[in-house]
Amino acid sequence: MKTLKTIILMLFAVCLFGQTFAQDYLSDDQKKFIGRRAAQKTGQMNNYISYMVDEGYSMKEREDYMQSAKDLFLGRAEEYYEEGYWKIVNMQVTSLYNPTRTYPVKLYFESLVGLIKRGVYDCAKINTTEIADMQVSTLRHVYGNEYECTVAYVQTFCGYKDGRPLYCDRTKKNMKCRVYLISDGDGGSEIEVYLSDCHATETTRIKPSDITNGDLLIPDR
Amino acid sequence: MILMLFAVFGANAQKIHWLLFIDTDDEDVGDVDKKTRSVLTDHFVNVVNSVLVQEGYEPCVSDNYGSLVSAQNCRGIVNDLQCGSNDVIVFYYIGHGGKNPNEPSRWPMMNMGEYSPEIPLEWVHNNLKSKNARLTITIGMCCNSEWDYMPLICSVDYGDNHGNTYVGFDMQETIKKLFLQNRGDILATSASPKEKSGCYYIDDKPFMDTYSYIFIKDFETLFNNQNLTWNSFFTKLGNDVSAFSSDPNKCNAHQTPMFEANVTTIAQSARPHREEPKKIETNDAVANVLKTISDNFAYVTDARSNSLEKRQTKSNEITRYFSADAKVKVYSQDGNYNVDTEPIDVYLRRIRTSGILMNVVPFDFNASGGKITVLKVKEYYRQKN
Repeated sequence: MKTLKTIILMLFAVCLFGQTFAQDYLSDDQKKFIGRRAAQKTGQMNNYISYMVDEGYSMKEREDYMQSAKDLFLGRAEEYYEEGYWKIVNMQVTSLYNPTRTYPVKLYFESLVGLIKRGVYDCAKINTTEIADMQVSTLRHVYGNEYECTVAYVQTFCGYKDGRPLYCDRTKKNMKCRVYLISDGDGGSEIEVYLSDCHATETTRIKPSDITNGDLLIPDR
Repeated sequence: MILMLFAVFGANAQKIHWLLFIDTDDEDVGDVDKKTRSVLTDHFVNVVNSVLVQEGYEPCVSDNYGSLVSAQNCRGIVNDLQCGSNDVIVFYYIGHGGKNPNEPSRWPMMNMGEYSPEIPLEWVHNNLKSKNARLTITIGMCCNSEWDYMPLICSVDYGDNHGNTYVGFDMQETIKKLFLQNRGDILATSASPKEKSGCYYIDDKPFMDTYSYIFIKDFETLFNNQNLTWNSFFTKLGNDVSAFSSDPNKCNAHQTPMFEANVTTIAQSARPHREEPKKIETNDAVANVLKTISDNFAYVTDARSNSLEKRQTKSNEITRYFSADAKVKVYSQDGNYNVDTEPIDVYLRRIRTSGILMNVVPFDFNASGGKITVLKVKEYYRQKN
């Protein structure tokens, strides 16, 4: 009898615990605003990326931009401990001639900063969808205080050698964003938005005729 | 030589002075005016400031609402305002008003929180014009009927706008053109003599005052056209308000706004040199603390005036005014929802390096032991090109 009571109490506790963590505390309006914030952060990262490959900036400045970009990610793009595991956020990279590869974000950024230095290209330009044009999925309650959404954008890359475009492509990317609703310590709550893994979905070649005066065209999605 | 030095270092600090008087305490229209104040600030004042900050201007917002709306305070602020020859002044009043039947002027008198009309809109305009700023705009949103006003009851939320914290390229250019490449003055009001200024109703509830509602709508659409002039803006605004308010299912008063614009186009003057901002003193008045933080942030984000090293040094200096675990909470433009929170060091690095963040508008803070622990802000982003 005592064992049965204990089991019932445990089941009750599990149900209560589960309910607490299944609770969605955000209104639809809040979710929309937070989704736009995720797009702003994705746009901010893209802007940093365009600076990281801009030979007009010194190496010190490009590294500064890299650190700012890393700050936007979960664990500041370093390893972080979650649910008993060490994790790191990843960025998928595609090109026309190589299969899709996945790198830790920080390695991807380091490779971008060193792109010109390594002499692969004389200069490179990376352009992405404007923030207002980015598509954001509905913010989804995942578990407990965690929410998720995906920001879709197009990234255009062009590497130049001797003033002429050597290689250009356009990749569709989906940035996963993690949102935490946490206690602010004063009886209220606050939101934290982080960028997470980024998936590349499709890469297409850009014709040199699409590139005018060094500007890269971002088509409507 | 002097001209060369002027060209190198730019002109002295130039300011945009906002004199906002919004009667949020009125028992009839207070609730509607609270909403209008929030929309006007987030959708107009902050957007214009974001563009002008990029051009080296310093926004000075005299935000008068609640008990600060009084005839005495208005007279004092208008009389005491000091400005430079390249400054911009924008006065915007929202509240009760009326017209003295014995007064020949066609412009209304504003109640300014009093029981009867006290301050002529024209007096404010003439007084502000005498300050000799480059551009003076005076707008009065009130009844122009003879000693009467519209009682309004409650307000509802302004509609969703999830994207306006993002200022498009055309809008940036039009704001620059209209605010920085014009000299003269504009006087505008929401209704003609003997007309009341009413309210736009949704589902039988007053939403915002009709004039300010259409003003913001027109600002957000017409300012995307770089051919816009002040004359064409106020003409279209007048026509739109008149047409919109003629529908009794939407509005409780038909009104015909008036304006007088005496402006000439000029070349934009040299970008002013941004002076090093004052140190943040947390025991100062709240409005002063917020203004100082805003000036410090503008200095840190201004890559056109200040080198990376200078901005980095300033950024490190600002950190000292915050507690070690201080947080910056970012809020949505509408609805006042917290949408993100960052530690102060991460936040300062981001605004220093952003490149797409035009302006940060702090609107509240908590402090403890002389240091800021929580700062609440709204952010305005720009289109890249």
